[in-house]
Parts: sequence; structure tokens; C-alpha cells
Amino acid sequence: MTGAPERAAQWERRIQVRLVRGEAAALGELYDRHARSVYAIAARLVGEDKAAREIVTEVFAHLWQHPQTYDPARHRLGTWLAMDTRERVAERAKGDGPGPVAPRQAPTEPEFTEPRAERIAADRALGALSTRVRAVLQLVHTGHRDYRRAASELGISEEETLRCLRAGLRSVAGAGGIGAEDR
Amino acid sequence: MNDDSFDHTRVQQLLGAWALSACSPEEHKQVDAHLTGCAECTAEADQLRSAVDLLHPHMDLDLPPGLRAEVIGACLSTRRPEVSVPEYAQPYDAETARLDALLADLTGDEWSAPVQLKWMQDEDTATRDTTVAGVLGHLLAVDGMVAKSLGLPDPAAPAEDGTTDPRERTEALWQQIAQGTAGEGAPDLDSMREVWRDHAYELIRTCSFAGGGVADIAVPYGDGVMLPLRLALLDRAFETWIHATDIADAVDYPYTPPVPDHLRTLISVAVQMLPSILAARRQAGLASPPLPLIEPGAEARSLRLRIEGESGGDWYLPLDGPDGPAGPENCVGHVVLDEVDFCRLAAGHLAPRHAAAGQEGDSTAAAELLYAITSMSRL
Repeated sequence: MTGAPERAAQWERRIQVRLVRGEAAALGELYDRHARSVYAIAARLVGEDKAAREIVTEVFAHLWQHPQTYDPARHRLGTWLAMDTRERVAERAKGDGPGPVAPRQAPTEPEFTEPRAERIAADRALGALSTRVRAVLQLVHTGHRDYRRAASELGISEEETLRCLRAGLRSVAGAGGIGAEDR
Repeated sequence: MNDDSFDHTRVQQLLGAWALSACSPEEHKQVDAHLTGCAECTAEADQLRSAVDLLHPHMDLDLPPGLRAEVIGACLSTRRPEVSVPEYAQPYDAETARLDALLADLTGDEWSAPVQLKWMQDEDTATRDTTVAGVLGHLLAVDGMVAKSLGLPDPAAPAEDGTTDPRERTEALWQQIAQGTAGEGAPDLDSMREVWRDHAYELIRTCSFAGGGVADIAVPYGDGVMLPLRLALLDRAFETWIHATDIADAVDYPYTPPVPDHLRTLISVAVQMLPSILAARRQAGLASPPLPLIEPGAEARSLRLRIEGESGGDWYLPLDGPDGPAGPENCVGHVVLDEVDFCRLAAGHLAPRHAAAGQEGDSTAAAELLYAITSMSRL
């Protein structure tokens, strides 16, 4: 039996081969599967649409130009792209002057979108979390604080803040049907 | 910080913040470095990162509509593809991607939201009630005709008689789904999106490898009509967009037109077909209102069609025979349409009498043109 994670891993190996081969259609499929989360990370970290678009372009252009730099045996593609996105944001922030990472401002007026089915389950899971876990998650996720600032604003320790973030995301993952897999 | 103090346990602690991009840059780097060597943390990192995708609202930003074309364009200019997507397949590639992004956001209930499909038949509006899932089944059933012509398996594999009529194929697929009698590889309600998506990818990929070699193979389109593959795929792009708007309307979601380049291609292909459609309608005696009698030896007339918008254009269309002269000297009237309204008219989604944004001169000729445009629609 091949489960969803195995199929996803297969897809990642295959898409890499196709990218190496220089298949433009594979680039489209790659974008369709991963652009949403790459853009979301970029938009959240740089807080500005134009810069976020540029980052997204850089991330995909890099993988298209150097598909061998991604090793499907080591990383899930989504994780690898997330790392690459953050690095590019950090590099850009360095070039722009002070501040370790670009200012974590809220992006302007996100458009309202209908929730996905898993997202509804995730909402329910959020509702079931303790008030503290929810407060930490909200401050970091929608309030765009890093965990240290969230800790000091909430008057709890950094360790406790980290514990809340991890526990909160684990419940959401569980409710959304995302299991941890061994590779 | 050295490796000893920054160990596995510490990374585990940080993973939640890491997934939310809420660590310091140094910590992010350290986690990233640790992940390359630790399967356990990598598995959890993947899991937590996927969970972040489920949180909203801020992570749930809609992708900017033009970004796909922008990113792919930028990529292809830095490294030329060995195998490109042929130009005639690009609007289909873009429109299926847009529709799929819309489908990704649908909840279970929304898949069964009612949709009324509309088109023009026998000079009148025809309708057929279905659901969001039914609309996707319709797209798949007709896309399957193109796939079949390329020698790919037909996902809809309907009617044993192998009909090439889009409507019959659609009804047959709907019936199979309703009765649960769909064959091997055919979709049921749960797998509809995946089957449709994979099928579209396979079509695009096959065209990419075949390139120009298949652009002109004939695709049977029902009623004895044959379209060269490149036009058939543009038709599929057009239909994918139009039916995506049906789905978007049903679930009350905004949906924008195709990017200007693609919209321009779709519009000009439709306009190029108009002279022969006008002629065929005349031959079939289909003219409502009726055509004026043309005296033998009378000068052939033309009509100016102006489509407004970034993807529009300006054309003189021969009214009395597809090869007749057309230009300012024999122009008897002028019709102005907005670019999106032209498409909605051609899709039977807008009534001819409501379509024109402006009109001058011979009103009979103008009506004839508007009806010819809307006669292109079908289920």
C-alpha cells in the first residue's frame, strides 16, 4: 500500500528529475503545489507585496536553475523551500540595513478567503487548546512577533512560549490529518 | 554557540517557533543545519510546517493572480527549458492552474452547491442543472476528447459507442458517477479534482514533448466538427475559465479573467471564426432577426467590431461571405463590446440584447453579429 506521504515523496523525486531535464511543465506543477506557502512565508516576513513577489520569484528561479541542490532524500520539498525563502528574506534584510530579520509587520489587509475543509478541522483544534497556547500562537502567527517578544509581552518564559507553539501546532496538525512520518 | 550546547533537545524545543518563522536568524540556521542530519526532527518539522499552512487568516493570503506567469517567465529567462510548453497550451496550463487553486479552497458542502449551466441552442438559452462537482466532470469529459486524439487514455471513457459529442459525453459521465459505475481510472466524486488535475497535467506534458508536431492533429468535437489540436486546447482554456466563473459564482468567490496575453489570444481566435460562422448561419437560414435580401450584384458589406479593454482589438468582418472584402469603405455598422462581455456572450452567459456597450449604423447587421457570437456557445 502506498500512503499519501509515500506518494508525496515519490512526486518530489520525480519532479526533481523533470526539473533537471529542463521540463517547463514541471515548473508549473512545482509552482502550483508550493507557491502558496512560499508566498505566505515571504509576505509575512517582508510584509510587503512587491518584495514578497520578488522573493517567490528568486526561490523558484533558484530551484529551476539548480535543481540538483535539492536532495529529496534529505528534505521534504516544502521544508526545503521554506528554508530557502527565509534565507533570502534574511539576506535581503542584511542588505537593507539594520535589524536581524526584516520588520515583522502585518501584511496589509489580507483578502478574505473561504476555508478549506482541513482548515475547519484546524479551527476546531484551535478552539480546544488552552487559552495560553492559543494566546501565544495568535501573538506569533497573526501578531507577527518572534517568540522572544511574545514571551516578554505575555510575561511568560521563553521556554514556555516555545512549548506552547510546538504543542499548538501539533494539535492543529493532528486535527488536519497531518501525521509525522519517518523517512 | 557550538554543537554541544545546541543539541537535539534544543532543536526540538524550537521547532514550533521555527515552523512559524519566529526564531532569530541564527536559530533558524541552526535548526536548518540540524535537520539535514536528523530524521526525527525533520519529520516533526514537516508536520508542524504543514500545520502552519492550515492556520489563518494571515497565512491564507491569496496568491496574486499574475504571479504564476511572472515567476515562470522569470525562471525560463534565466535557464532556457529543454522541453517547453507550446504556446497553444499555455492558456490551458494557466486556466487549469487557476481553477485548481479555487478548488483547493472548497469545503465539502461547496462541492455539492447547485450550478446552472447556460448556453445558446436553437437561438434560445438552454440550461442544465448540476453541481460544482458536476461542472468539473463536464470539463473532464470534454478534455478527454483532446486526450483521446493524442492517444492518451480517455478518463471519462463514457458511452460504449465512443461518442464525440461533448454533451453526450458529459451526460454519460454524470450518469456513471451517479450510479457508481465509473470504470478503471475514471473519477468518482471524491477523486474528481485529482483525476481532473492529473489529466490536465498529462495533456500539457504530452503536448510539451510532442511540441509543434501535434498542433494540427484533428480533434473531433461532435456534430462532425473537427478542430486542430491547437484550437481545441484554446477552446478548453476558454471553457475552463468560463466554467470556473460558474463555480466561483456558486460559492460566492471572486474570479478574475485570464491574464491579458491569454485573453487576447482567446478573443482573437474567436473573432477569426466569426466570418465563417456568419456564413454558415446564413446558409442554414438561421438569422434572427431575418436577413435582409441581398440583391444580386449588390456590394458586399462589412461590420466593424471593436472589443474594448487591454486584450481587445478592432476588426472589420465581412458580412456577405467569409472571403468578402471588409474595410471602412463597405462598413455598414459598428458594434462595441467590452472584452469580458464578448467572452460571456460567446459562452452564452450573456444575452445578445444586453451585450453591446455601443452600436451604430445597420442594427439588423449588428444583431446578426451578436447572435453569431453567442451561437459559438454549447454545453
